[in-house]
Amino acid sequence: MARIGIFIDALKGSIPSSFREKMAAHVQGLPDIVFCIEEENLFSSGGLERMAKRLEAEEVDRVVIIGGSPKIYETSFHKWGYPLSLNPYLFAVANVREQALWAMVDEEAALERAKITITKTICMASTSKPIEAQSLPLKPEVLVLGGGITGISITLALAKSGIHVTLLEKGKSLGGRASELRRFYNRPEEVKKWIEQKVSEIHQIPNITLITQAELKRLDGHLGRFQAKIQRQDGTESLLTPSAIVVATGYATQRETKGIFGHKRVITLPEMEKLLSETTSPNLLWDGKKVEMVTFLLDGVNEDIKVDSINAIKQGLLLQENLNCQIAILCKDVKVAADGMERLYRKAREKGVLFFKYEEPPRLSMVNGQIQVDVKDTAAIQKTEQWPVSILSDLIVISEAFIPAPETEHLCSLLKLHLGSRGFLMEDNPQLLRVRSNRRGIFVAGACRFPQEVSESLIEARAVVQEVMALLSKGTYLYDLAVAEVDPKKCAVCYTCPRLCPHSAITVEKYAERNIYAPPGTGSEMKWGAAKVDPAACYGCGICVAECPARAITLHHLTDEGIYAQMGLSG
Amino acid sequence: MAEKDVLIIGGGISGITVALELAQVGIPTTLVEREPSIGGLSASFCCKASESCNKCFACVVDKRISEVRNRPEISILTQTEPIGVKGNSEEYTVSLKRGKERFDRKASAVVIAAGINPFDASQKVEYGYGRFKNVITAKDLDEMLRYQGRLSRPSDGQLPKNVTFFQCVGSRDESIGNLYCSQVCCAYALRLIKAIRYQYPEVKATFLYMDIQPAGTSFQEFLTSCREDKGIRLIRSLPSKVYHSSLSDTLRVRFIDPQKGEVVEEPFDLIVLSVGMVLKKEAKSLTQIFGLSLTEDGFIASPPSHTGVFVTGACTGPKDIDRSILHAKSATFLVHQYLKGRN
Repeated sequence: MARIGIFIDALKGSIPSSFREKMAAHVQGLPDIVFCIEEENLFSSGGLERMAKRLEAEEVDRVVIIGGSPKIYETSFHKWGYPLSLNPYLFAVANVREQALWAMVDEEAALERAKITITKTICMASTSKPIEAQSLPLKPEVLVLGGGITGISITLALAKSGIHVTLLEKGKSLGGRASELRRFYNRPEEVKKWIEQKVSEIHQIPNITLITQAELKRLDGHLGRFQAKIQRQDGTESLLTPSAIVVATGYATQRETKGIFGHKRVITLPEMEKLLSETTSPNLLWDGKKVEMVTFLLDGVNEDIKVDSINAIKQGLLLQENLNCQIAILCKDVKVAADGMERLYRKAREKGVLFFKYEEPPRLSMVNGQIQVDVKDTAAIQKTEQWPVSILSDLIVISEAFIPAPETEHLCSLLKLHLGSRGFLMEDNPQLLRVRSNRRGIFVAGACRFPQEVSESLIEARAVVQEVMALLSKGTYLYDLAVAEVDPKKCAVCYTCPRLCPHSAITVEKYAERNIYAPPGTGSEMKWGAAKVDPAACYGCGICVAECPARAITLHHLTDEGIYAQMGLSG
Repeated sequence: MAEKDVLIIGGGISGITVALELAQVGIPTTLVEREPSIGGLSASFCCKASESCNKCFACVVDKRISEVRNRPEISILTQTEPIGVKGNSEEYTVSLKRGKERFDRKASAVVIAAGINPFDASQKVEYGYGRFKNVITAKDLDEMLRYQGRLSRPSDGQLPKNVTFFQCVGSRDESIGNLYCSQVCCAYALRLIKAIRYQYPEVKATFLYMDIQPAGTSFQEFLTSCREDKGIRLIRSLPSKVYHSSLSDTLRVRFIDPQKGEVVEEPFDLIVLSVGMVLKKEAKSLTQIFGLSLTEDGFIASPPSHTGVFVTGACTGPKDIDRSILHAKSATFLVHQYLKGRN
């Protein structure tokens, strides 16, 4: 038998007193009610104190507030602290102001609606059960996958904050794809030196374990209790138990080699970058000959990635200014959506770099050992100027297609993360924002999310460190059990729930203790598996509850029993 | 409330994020906002979903505002602005003004997230903003959709059948002194178009642009869906002038049609100017108070972190909601590191 205490919010201007009286009269006729009083100031600390005293004096075990939106009461609890000795899950709000008074045209109808809302809330409250807060200890240990600049930066920052970091790199050396770059577009220092300095720091800091030429083989467990099996190339395996995991595995590229693109006078942006860093003479040489005309052909691939545009303008300007070349940059759109890029674009044009914006792909052909590029410029004003412009080039620079690193898909299934539509890890998601993944305790940063400029990756790296620190700095993860739970006796191990869970919080335990099955006629009992929800990883969304064919799953804070009671179907 | 908090100036999405993230690591903050309510510019944005979410991130702001109000570690001072600062990186004492009241706050570090203003479109005289009723900014349109819940033409309240968007108003434009790309307006305007086309399929939209700037992981699919939509015309051409006729509310727009290769004039019911971002007017006094310098583009340059003054959000350069939150998180890390290094 529940003992319910009811407070009617009598804030001035909220619910009229005549309406409150009628509701109070209705409440008196309901079962399990200990008292029903009006309270004028539920938002003050004094009001909350009076409320707490009253509850204790009357030995009430459930509280219902009749008033406005539950959010406003939550706010006052947050502000003044939760004052009640009752468990927060034994507290319910009947929102008659918004759902009845404001929603209905006349008072009569509003009162009817209010009565229904109140009855439902009280029925629901009488079935509710307390849910206790739990805590999960978190060791300061993090696993970082990928030794590119994002991974390096994250590792260093975390290690300096006192966290033990294991940095896993599949290749021999650290640095990743950024080591292809000569200079940053927006900073004076050389990329190579910058990386070398960071790598030497990694070797010096004691609480970093660097494992190269190794990869993740298997991952079990959840936040705080991950179990990662690492396999080195020589076949040795080791087991790590990090509290959190950061994925920064980077991207791969694919070069177009069909037809004329396979010609030796066609090179890629990274190859040009390398050529520039090796050039010391005042002229650019290719194949022993002086290069005079260079054409950049962009947007054939990765139309929506601005890195190519930034690199092409940066290289083009250098070639035009210092190496006596004439540069033409052909693209669909000039992508300048990065700080300082419009100025660089302007400078490039002032120095004589030509820009053409095409819609039809330019045609390439061989003319006397040079490559002729025919392009229709859509930015030309007069119709007569729209004929194809022909550019005889010594060198063609094309962009490489950015593709997900080859192991991304496999990694995705190992880590149970979501794959974006283009095969990169995770998509932009307003619920998770950047760097968080669909699983608690796993973060994604850098170009494995989406190819981007170095400076942007570094900002993501810092954001990840912030997220990891926020998670680990307290040493424990606090959560309450407002999550789903599987009844192992009812579970038929159909694997519906682990497939559907968006946060991969459900695993199937092979030999669950309580689920015993005796095949008919054998007389022997065998242990059957059962699904298990990890309470720290569960977000309490209820998808598994709705989908379980055996109805073996319940949400602690929203039980079937409670919903039936609300609908008047109890028993 | 602790005597010495981290003082965050600016209660927009960046300031809110810094406050929330610092609360996560147990550092109390005071959020100072000029306006009567927190949320800043991004709080006035409407949801721009069509058949599905178009990832405008407007909903994130609402959620974070209610979250920040509920954190005991965060105290919020609205209608308050800083008027001076004393002390050094050891400890700052910031003088604040709230109406006529003046008081001091000690701060262990100061985070400036002053935010931006939309570009004042009346500076582009040829587009007639402020003179013609049916020329509005994208922000006006956004607020109309959020607060009135419907699309209407300001002159007569009717549904405009033919809407055009002018891109790069106040961005990438040396004539008004803004030689930078505002980075967000392409995706912003296209999302608005998508949302309008979804709600009012009879409304035709024209998008007049210079270059389309990508934004985010699924932008290419989004752009393709815009290109495939028969009701949306994407034309690479910025208009030169808007003409008004005294006989009707319809405006005429002069631009070069690249298909025809000649100058055309077309009538439109409603003209929306995609205004770029400029540093918030009031932020200029902040830079003087804290001795900060401006970048070439007129945004606030980040000071070295040992000063204990940090700058984040769109006041350091144009950013959308998503990137503002990312930058705020990254700035929080720097603040946290700075405070730890001192103790």
